[in-house]
Amino acid sequence: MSRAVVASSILVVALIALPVATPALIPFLDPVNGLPGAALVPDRYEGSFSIVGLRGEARVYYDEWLVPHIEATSDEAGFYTVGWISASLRLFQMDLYRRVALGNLSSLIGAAGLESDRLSLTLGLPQAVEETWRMIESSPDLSGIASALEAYSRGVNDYIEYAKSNGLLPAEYRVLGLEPEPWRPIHSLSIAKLLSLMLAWDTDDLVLNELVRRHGPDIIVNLDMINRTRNVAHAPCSEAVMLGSIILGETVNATLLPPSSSLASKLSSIYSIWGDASNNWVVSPRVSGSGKPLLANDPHLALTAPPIWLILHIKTPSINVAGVTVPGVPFIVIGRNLDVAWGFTNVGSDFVDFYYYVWRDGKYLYRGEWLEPTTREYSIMVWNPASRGYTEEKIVVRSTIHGPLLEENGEAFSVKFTGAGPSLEVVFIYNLNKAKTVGEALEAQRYFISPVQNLVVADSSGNIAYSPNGGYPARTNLPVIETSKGMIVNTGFLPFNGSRGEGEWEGFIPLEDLPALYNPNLPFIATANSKPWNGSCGLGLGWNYADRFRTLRIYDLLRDASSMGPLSVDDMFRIQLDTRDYSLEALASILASLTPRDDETREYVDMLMQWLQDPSTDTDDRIAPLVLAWSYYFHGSVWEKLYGSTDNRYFFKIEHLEALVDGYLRGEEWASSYLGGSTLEELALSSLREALSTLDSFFGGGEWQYGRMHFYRITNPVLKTDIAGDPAAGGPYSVNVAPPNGVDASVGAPVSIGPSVRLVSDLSTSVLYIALPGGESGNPFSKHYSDHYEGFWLTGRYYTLDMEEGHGAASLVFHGGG
Amino acid sequence: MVRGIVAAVLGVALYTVIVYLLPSPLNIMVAPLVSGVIASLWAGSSSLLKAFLAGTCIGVTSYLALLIYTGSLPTALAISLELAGPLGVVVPLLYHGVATGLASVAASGVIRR
Repeated sequence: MSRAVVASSILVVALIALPVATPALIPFLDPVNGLPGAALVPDRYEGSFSIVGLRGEARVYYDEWLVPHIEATSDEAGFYTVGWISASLRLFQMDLYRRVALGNLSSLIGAAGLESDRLSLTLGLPQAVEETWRMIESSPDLSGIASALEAYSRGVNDYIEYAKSNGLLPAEYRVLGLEPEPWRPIHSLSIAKLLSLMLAWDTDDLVLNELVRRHGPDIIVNLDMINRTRNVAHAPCSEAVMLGSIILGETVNATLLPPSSSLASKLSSIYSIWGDASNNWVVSPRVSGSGKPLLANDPHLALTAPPIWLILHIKTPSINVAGVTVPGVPFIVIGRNLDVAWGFTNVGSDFVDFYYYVWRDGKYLYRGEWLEPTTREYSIMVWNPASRGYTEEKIVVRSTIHGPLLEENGEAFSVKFTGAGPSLEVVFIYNLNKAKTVGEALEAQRYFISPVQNLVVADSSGNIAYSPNGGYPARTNLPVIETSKGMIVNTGFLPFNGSRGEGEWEGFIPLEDLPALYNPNLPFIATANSKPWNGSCGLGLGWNYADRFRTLRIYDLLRDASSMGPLSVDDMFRIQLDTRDYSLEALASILASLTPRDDETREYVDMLMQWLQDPSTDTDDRIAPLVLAWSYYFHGSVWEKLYGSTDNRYFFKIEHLEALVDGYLRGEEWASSYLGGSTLEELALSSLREALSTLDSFFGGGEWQYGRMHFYRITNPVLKTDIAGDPAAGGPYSVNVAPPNGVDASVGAPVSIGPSVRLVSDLSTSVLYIALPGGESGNPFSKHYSDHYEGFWLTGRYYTLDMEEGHGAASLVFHGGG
Repeated sequence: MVRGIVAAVLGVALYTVIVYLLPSPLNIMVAPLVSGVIASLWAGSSSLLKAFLAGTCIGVTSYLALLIYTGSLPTALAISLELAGPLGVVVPLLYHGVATGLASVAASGVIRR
C-alpha cells in the first residue's frame, strides 16, 4: 500500500474524529441535526393529538400571519394548548426568560449570563417565585389560576418531548448543544420577576448619592430633581378620586403579602438594556367617532428577534381574550376582551431603597445593637458551548435586617426592592383577562405589586379610567436633608442610614388610599412615563420620571385631532407613528443659544436654526444627523462634568440639563461650579466638533442622511443575526420612539429599543389592531420570523384581529384520550 | 462514463440518506466513509488524485444538497458567518469534502491491492 494511501487512511480517521473531539463544530457540520436542520421545524402543526387525562377539547386555527386562535371547551384544554403552541413558536425564548429571573441563565448561554445570575440570586428571586407558587397552590380562591398554570406547563412539556423525539428543537439549542429542561408553573411566575427587573429595578439612588457627594445636597434642589416642575403630568389632581371609592373589599397586597423581601446586586443596572418607557392613552366616548372608548398602547422595550411579545387569541369557557403575552405566561398581558381593553406604561417611581451602616469587626450597627449579617451560598453552573461542559461558580450573599448586601469596592449597601418578594401579578393579569367592566379591571389591581404600571382601561359601556397603582412601599422614619434653600425630606431618593433605622418599610400603601381617574371630565388620558399627577395627590411618590416630551406631544396630537372632529382608530395609528421629537427641539434650541457664531460655527448654528423651523426626523432629513449627534455629545459632556464619567448618563434627564442651563444663564455660581471649570459654551463647541468628526467619518464626506446613520438593529441574542437594518425616523423622545444605542463614527446610531408592539382597540367593535416588530415564529429559518415587522410594524400598518371572526377548519386538535 | 455517473449519484444519495437517518454525530462520521468507497469506484484504480477529487466532489455536493433540501442555505450561511466568521462556512465544506476525498483515496488503495 502506498504511503499516500496510508497517510490518507490516518488523516481520514483523524478528520472523522473531529466532531467527537470538538463537539462545538457539530452544529455547523451536521446539516440535518445541526443548525441548518432547524429549517425543518414546521411553523404550524396539523393533526389530532390524544392527550391522556385532558378534559375537554381545544382547536387551533392559524391565520396567514401564523397567529394562533385557540378555542377550547374547557379551561384546562385551552391553557394546555396555549402552552403547547407557545412552546412550538418560542420555546428557546421562554427558556431564556425564565432563566434570567431564576438566576440560571449562564447554565444556558454561558459566562455572558453570569452577571445577570448573580443579581437574580442575590435578590432572592427564585425563593420569591417558589413562595408565590405556594401561595397560589394553597389558596382555594386561586385554584383556577393554579390549574391554568399546571395545564400550561403540561402543554409546554408535551411539546418539548414531541420536539426532542422528532428532532424539532429550535436553532439556538442546536448551536449551544443543549436541550430544554421541563417547564414548571414557577417558570411562568418568574416572568413577572423578569418584568420587574426590566422595569422597576434601578440604581438611581446611588447615582444621586454620588452627585450629592461631589456637589453637595443643593444639587437636588438646583436641578429640580425631586419636584420636576418642568415635567408634564399625566393627570390633574383636581380630577382624582381615591381608588377606594371605586373598588370594594380588602386590599390583598397589604394583607396577604408580606413586605417585600430583599435583594442586592452589583452597581450596574444591567437590565437598562431592555428599555423601560412606553405610551398609552384612552379616549372618552364623548370625543370618539364610534361613540365608544378608544385605547392605544405601545410599550417601549428592547427590539429583539424574536420579539418580546407573542400574539394570541384565547377562547375558553372563562375567557375570550386577544392581545400579546410574554412567551411563558398563559394569559394575555396587554390586549382586550369583548368588554374591556387595557394598556400599560411603566411608572418610573422609586421602588428600590439602599441602606448603609456603621461596621465593626464584620458586624453592622442597627438601632444600637451590633448584628452579624446572615449569609447564603449559591452555586452557578456555567455552560461552556465550546467544550460542552459546565464549570461551577460560587457566590456568597450577605444580608442585613433590611435585605441582601450589595458590595462593591469596599462599600456595602443593603437593598430593598418591591420586585423581589412573593407577589401575585399573575392573578392581576388573569383577572384583567376576565374583566367585564373598568371597575373589575381596577379591582384586579389589588393583586399587583411590581412593576407598577400606568394602567389605562376602557369598557364597552363607555367607562374609562387611569390608575398608576400597585406596590408603593410605605416608608417610615424619613430623614431630613439640609440644603441652603431649606430642608427636604428624603423619601427614598438617597440611601438611608440603616444603622439609625431610617426609611424602614412597613408594607405597602393601601391601594384604597391611592388616587385614580374614573370617567373624568377630560376627553382623553395619556401616559408616557412622566410624573403621574400634577399635584400632591400622588403622595410625592417617585422623582426620576421620564422627561415630559412624549406626554406633551401625545396630548398636543390628541387635542389637535379632536379639534378637527371625532377621533377614530386612524387617528390612534397616526399618533403612534408620529416621529416629531420635542426633546431634540429643546436641545437644538439650547445649543443654538449657547454656541458662539463665528467662522467655525456659523454654518452649523444656521443649520440648527433652519431645522427648528421644520424639525423633521424623517429618514431622508439632512440636518437631523447633526442635531442628533450634537445633542448626544453635548448631553454626555455636561453629564461627564457633573458625574465624573459618562456611566449612568440616562439618569441625567433633559429637564435636569434645562435647569442647569437656566441657572447658568442667570449667572448662578452653583451652575458654573458644577461644570468644573468649563463653560457651557465650551462644551457646546467641543460637542459640535465631536459631532462633525463623527458625521464626516461615518458619511465619508458624502451627504448626511438621517436614516443612513439612524437605523433599526433587531438582533437574535444567541444567533446574532439581524432582521432589520432599515432606516429609522424619530428620536429618543418621539412618540414612535427610536433612541439610538449611542452615536459612533463607525456604526452610526443604531436603534435597538422602540415600540415593542403597537396595539389599538375600539370598544365599539371586537377588533384589535396590532403591529409587532418581528413575527410569531422564533425560528430564524421561518418566513414568519419577521413577516409582521415587514408587513406591518415597519410600514406603519396594523394586523387586524377580529375576535368574533369565524375560522375555517382547525389545523390542530387536542382532546382527551385514554 | 456510465459507471462514473452511477457512482456519483449513488455516492451523493448514500451520503444524504446516511446523514439524514443516523443520529448525530455518527451520521457525519459514517457518511464520508461510505461515500468515499463509492467515490473510489467512480475513480477506479487509475489515480489517487482522481479518487480524492471524486470523493471531495461527492462530499461537498451532498452537503450543499442537504442545505438546499432543508431550505436552510441562506439563513444557515448568515448565522454561521455571524457566529464563526468565514470559518463557519469554510470548515463544513472542507470537512465534508476532504473527509470523503481522503476516504476515497484510502479505499482506492485497498482496491488496488
